[in-house]
Amino acid sequence: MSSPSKDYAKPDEYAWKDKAGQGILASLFRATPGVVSYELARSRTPARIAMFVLMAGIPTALLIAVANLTPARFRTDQQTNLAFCVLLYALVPQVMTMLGMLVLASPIVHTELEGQTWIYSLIRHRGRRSLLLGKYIVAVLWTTTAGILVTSLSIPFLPLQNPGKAWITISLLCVLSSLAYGALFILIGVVFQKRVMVISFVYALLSEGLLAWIPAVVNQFTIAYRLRSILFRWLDLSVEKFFRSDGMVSNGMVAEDPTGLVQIGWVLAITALLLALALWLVERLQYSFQSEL
Amino acid sequence: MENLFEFRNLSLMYGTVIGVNDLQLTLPKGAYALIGPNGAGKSTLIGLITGALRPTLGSLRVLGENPCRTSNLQQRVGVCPATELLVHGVTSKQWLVLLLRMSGWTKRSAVERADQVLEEVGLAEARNRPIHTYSLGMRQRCKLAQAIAHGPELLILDEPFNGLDPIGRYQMSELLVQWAKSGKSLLLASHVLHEVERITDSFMLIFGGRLLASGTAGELRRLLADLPQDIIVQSETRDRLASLLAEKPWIRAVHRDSAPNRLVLTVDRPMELYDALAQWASTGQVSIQRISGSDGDISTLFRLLISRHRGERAYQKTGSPS
Repeated sequence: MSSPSKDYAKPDEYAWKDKAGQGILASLFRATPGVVSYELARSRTPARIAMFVLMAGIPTALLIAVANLTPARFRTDQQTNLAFCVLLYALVPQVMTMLGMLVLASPIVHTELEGQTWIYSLIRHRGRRSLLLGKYIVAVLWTTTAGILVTSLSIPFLPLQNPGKAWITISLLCVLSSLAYGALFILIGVVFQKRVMVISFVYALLSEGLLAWIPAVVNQFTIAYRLRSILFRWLDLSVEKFFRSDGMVSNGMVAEDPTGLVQIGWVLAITALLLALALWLVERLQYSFQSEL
Repeated sequence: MENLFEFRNLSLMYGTVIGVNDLQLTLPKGAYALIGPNGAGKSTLIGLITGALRPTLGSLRVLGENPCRTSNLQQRVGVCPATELLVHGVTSKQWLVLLLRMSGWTKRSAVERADQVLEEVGLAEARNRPIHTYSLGMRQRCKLAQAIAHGPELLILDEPFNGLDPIGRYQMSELLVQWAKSGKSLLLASHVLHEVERITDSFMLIFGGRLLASGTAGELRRLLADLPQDIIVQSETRDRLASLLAEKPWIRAVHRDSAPNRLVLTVDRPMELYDALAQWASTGQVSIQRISGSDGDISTLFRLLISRHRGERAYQKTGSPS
């Protein structure tokens, strides 16, 4: 340490000067980019890059393999186009993005608690909120990038009738899926302090994997229902052909929204609601952050 | 003038385990040492003060504000926790910039201040090295840097001497002495008594979540005089003195030591013993060569208070009187 004769009595020119009059949003807007740049710098590790390569590589390889197995005579079929659009959607914005966000977003608080670094954000003005929001943005960036990369790499090999439109739709769905599932898993991570990943996985399986496919009102509460509706409407896919032609099952599987814009609004509203709830709760819940506490 | 702390029946329970038990205290601004063994409730109390924990019963105010309700207090308080700093893959400068930006600082002023504060704690040369490559002492200094970086009015340190070598301990205590002298407030939680005695004269003794005693070293020493303790008296009239003492109600035990002319007394009220000895010596009933009792330091008082808190009959089991 330097000279202990440091004059601490001198009014600290730094104290308060930057923060005076800052409201919640102003201070969050100032603090969150700091967390984002810190986390991005920190996340450029071999382990994280390997995870990214796996996240992007597996679905790409799978999609290309399936496309190569498709007989040439079926490649121009409408049915083949439908199947590959749905497969692309299922693998990328649905499974890969959801699992990516599950792994990156749900353990945010838990990791901080376990690493004994939670205390440092706890004792900062808006520390908890900016940490949560910053890490959420980083998780969204990683996952969305992986999703768009898979889409970009695989689409040239897929037998699609309108590859450009498919790329735009699936890329948009990757963004929406990352935002919504990230907010959902962050909320779960804020509420539950133990076994967060297991709880998130079970929830995703039951809600997004099961409830979303029940043709009843209940599936409208799932994110998958909204994303699926955008996919079918934007790519002009036949709901009846994909589900059942008698209309018994196809009714209620996709929203009656010809443009899909209402569904985008729904996804963004769900994201905002879940995120706001997580940010509100993280300031109010009490976490045990060290052995003695 | 606003007080530093106001505790009103402050209690915190972890299920059925008591973390902090019915603290009732008001302290003006200043430097205080929170003394207690591991598990005494020091970190829990710090958790309550910082707003990380909420009281089960009672209330508290820190610098006039309720820490559970306002996040503005965090701008006025710096905390150096006891836990090990386990940050991987980032330099101390990056980490400090992050924490300052979390406090609402702009990037430019955060970078500037990080450099300045790392210089203050002696980490200027290591600022661009990853924290996980630091020694324990360097990590401790890094923790201190983040605590003082935003210019707090109150600095709270939980076991700041852990892991420091003798030079580091000296430098740390010098830095804290300067901090206390500057008029800013300080709460220093530790179980290393002699180190905190250099920094502050005001103590809070905590054990089992209860505040055993608080006050200046002088006040606590006066309290010590009123507590049961062992006292050794050297007298050529040892047997006569023993018979006189045996009649007194405040004498718990009289033991003839193997050393010649020495009596070891366990006394409930030492002040009355001193009065009686003075009277007997002045009237020539006994001769007293030497009286030695507790050394009067805070550690003795602390041992006595803990023994009393535990309900032990022999209050001074550990250590022999000097």
